[in-house]
Amino acid sequence: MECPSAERLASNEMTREERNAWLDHAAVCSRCHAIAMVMSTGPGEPVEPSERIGRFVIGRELGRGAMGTVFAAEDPELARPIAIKVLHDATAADRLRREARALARLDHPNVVRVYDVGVTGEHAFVAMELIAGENLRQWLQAAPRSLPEIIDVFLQAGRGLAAAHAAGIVHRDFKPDNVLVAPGRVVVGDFGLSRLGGEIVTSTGTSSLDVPSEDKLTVTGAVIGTPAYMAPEQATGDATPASDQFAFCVAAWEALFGARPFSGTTLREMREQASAGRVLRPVGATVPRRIERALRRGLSARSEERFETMDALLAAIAPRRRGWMIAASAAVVAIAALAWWQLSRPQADPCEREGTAIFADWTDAARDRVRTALGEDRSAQITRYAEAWRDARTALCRAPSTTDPAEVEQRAARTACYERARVELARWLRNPAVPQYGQLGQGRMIPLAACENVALTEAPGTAADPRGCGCPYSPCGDGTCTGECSARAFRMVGPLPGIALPGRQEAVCGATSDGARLLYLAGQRCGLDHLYIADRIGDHYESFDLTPQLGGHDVIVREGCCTLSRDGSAVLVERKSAPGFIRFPLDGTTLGAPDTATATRLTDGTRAWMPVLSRDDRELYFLTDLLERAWLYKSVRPAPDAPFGHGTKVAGRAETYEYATGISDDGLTLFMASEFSTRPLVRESVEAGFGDLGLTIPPARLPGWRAIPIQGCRQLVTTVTPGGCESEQPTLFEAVQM
Amino acid sequence: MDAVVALYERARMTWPEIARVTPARFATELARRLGASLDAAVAGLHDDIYLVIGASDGDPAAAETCDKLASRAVDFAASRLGATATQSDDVRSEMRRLLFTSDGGRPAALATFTGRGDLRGYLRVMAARELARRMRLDRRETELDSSVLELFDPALDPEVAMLRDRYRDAVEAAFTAALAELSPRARAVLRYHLVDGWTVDQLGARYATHRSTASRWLVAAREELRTGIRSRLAAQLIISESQVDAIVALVTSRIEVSLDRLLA
Repeated sequence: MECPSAERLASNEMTREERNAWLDHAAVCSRCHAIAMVMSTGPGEPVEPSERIGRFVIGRELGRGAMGTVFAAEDPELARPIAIKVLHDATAADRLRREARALARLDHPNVVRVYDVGVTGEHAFVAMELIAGENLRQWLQAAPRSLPEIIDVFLQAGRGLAAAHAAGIVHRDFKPDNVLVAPGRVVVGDFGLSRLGGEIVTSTGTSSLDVPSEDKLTVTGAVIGTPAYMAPEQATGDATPASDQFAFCVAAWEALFGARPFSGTTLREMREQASAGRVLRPVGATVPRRIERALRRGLSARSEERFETMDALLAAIAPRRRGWMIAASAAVVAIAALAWWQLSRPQADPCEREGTAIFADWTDAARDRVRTALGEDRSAQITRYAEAWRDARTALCRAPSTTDPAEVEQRAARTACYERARVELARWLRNPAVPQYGQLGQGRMIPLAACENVALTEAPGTAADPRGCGCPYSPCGDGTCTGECSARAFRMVGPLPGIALPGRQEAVCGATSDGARLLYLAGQRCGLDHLYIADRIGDHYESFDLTPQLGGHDVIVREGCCTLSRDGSAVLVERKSAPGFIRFPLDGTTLGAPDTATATRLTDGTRAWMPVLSRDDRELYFLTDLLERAWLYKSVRPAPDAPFGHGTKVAGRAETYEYATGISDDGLTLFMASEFSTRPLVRESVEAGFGDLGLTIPPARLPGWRAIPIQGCRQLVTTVTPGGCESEQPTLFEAVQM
Repeated sequence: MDAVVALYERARMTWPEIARVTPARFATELARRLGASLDAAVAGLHDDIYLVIGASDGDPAAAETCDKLASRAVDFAASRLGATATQSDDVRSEMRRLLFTSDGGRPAALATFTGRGDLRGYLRVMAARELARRMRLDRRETELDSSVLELFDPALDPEVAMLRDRYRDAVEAAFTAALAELSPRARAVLRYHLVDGWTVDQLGARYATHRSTASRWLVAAREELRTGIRSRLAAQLIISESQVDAIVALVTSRIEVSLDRLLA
């Protein structure tokens, strides 16, 4: 074969057959081989401002995505500003044309308008409407957004998607970055990956499921879309309107709950979690159950379990309005949802889901890592471990429920033990080559036999004692040695007498040092919207609802909103208008005028919650939501009537969503809790920083989410709500140090 | 073609005060007036011809733009081919010489550019060619087979050592012969994939085909190679079928390993 001229190679004159024949030739022709290496595919040269693309003059860069870069540009012919998306790779021009063709068929206020599309040289571009606004991710981060605001934005974006679906277009890459929020208008853009319904089958008639097996090696490179928002079926290339629905629900969940529904870094990990129905729901979120349920349905791994259409999903999350017509249609949706719920119930066995949770960590990718680092035997060993964990966890979940405190405690401790085992495995899997974790059953890996029969008198760890006692340090002491090396465990003594909760869920959020007064939240279903004070009178407690007195103040009652001063003379309630708390003095059960001195903006985060006050009323610990994570913050004031200062981060905290539940009366031990455990952080003096002893308080590894120390911390009040937030029998338990 | 340009240029010189008639407008209108023959000649011409004419005519802005594009093409090609800064600089000045000046019987490259292709692509091809010359990549031709072989060198694996020692020549001969007998497409995709490290997606993009097709080509090429090696070894060596299978499996397992490595 003759080597073609430079100009011929650069032109579009060669047919595909000629070009491919030349490529075959270039593999063995040194002159042509270098040219084949340089021929465009992959990233082209970057576009520079003031350069021209077609007739458009490029301005500043607006954003950069996987497929292309968006610039502000000027259309000199019509003298109007536009946005122009320039593809990194002109060979993607087919996709681009698809986008333009798809969008040309749409004229919808919630879908971006397309003016022009073309290819010039190596650049393929789409000229679009320039929307003066920010993308949804920026919009969400710019300021705290209320639930109705967020829902409204998603409803508009959802209508855009619904319109696209009606035109036979699947977006395929819906995510917050592709939604533009302008004043009064929300627009879905970046249909770059969209395909018309009929084009999914490849030219050779095979579906992408049939591609040869070695493609698995590069499958992530070929799947187009953004993993965090991709529906499981998209991994095999099977995108449908239901896949957009899934992506929409991931984005909405992220916006409403502040965290994505699935953890994991790879597509495969997330896919496995989605398939297992394991949705992460952050502690303390206050999203209406109705919306949560609709999103969960949209997040179903099986597309047929999602809503029929986007419109149905939108109806399910839209605000309920007055009027019997709308109420009636809502009722139809509700009935449909209920019917679906009942239908799908038998398939989605929650206990099986609990059990398969381990495989969200022990993924194929993790297996490959272990196999490479430590060999096949170790990999097989962990597979056996994971299977044993699954069986044990499922069996424990299926055991008949009980109200006997001892059994509840035992079961909770076992559940916590398994969860801890899973978390430790997950930690280890992140870096299996670390030697101290190398041996299963050693290091921090928990032998499952230990969880079979958790000894309730388990010793609280053997970490070094900061005071040189030679014994395990008692976190509940007065800062001195315990005097003997006996176990420092707790025993649950039973439900607190006299607290007959009006709701279906409750959470203790404060207690006086002597335990004579408690503060707790209660609510119907999963919302905690009533604040109660309970006083011990004789041998039982009497509750009083404080909520009505809070009406009209700048406060909000929800999970994690409140705490009680250690002497019981004041409550702290979350401030509604800014991240912080407002202090109300308590005279008996009567709230006094709010103490505005406390109402300082405490954090730059979006929310301050889970407050804990020290006994002297001068230190305030709280969680703050910042950068998509929760951090433990501390704020100090010089005197009990001075305002609290801006909070600072507290060191010594490892787990996400670990929060302070109480501080010992001597101020030296801070109790931290997560969903799995309670552990103390200790300090030498009130001035010193907290350090982590690596201790865990065994009995407080309860499913309840707060354990508040009372009686010099020798007793705990802890929340145990068997069976999740819809349980009929919420209980506050008391636990006593043995 | 030249006539149109010449006419346009002549016309502009005659009436320099007329600024509205762009070459495109001029050509379109000519085509409308004269019929489809000119239209066919002019259609598909790249706008770059205007720039190139400007540069050939010594328009400073046009020359500067062309020089900048050429320089970028060199950078681009150099990054793909792994050229050094010195090699790039040499090629940059060589490109300048080729593009702008004529000597002996060779006209300046810009003077012969017809506008049928995109200037950037043209410059890249030129840059690649000059870089290859400068980097002496010309010699790569004969290296193809051996470089592929190197990748599969059975010596890399101690397990294969015994078989290699005993059947070394036969295995290598079978391998080379099987490789030589591959169809041009199979050879090309194996080379691009194994030696040049193109992914299945890049193969698909460059061959303008779906990635699954490219992927099937690769599978077929490997299978072709495997069968080729197998039939040769079976014919040459007096060993049992299972031993042939073992050798083929060992050799081809190297291919799998290499694939894994390249695709990782």
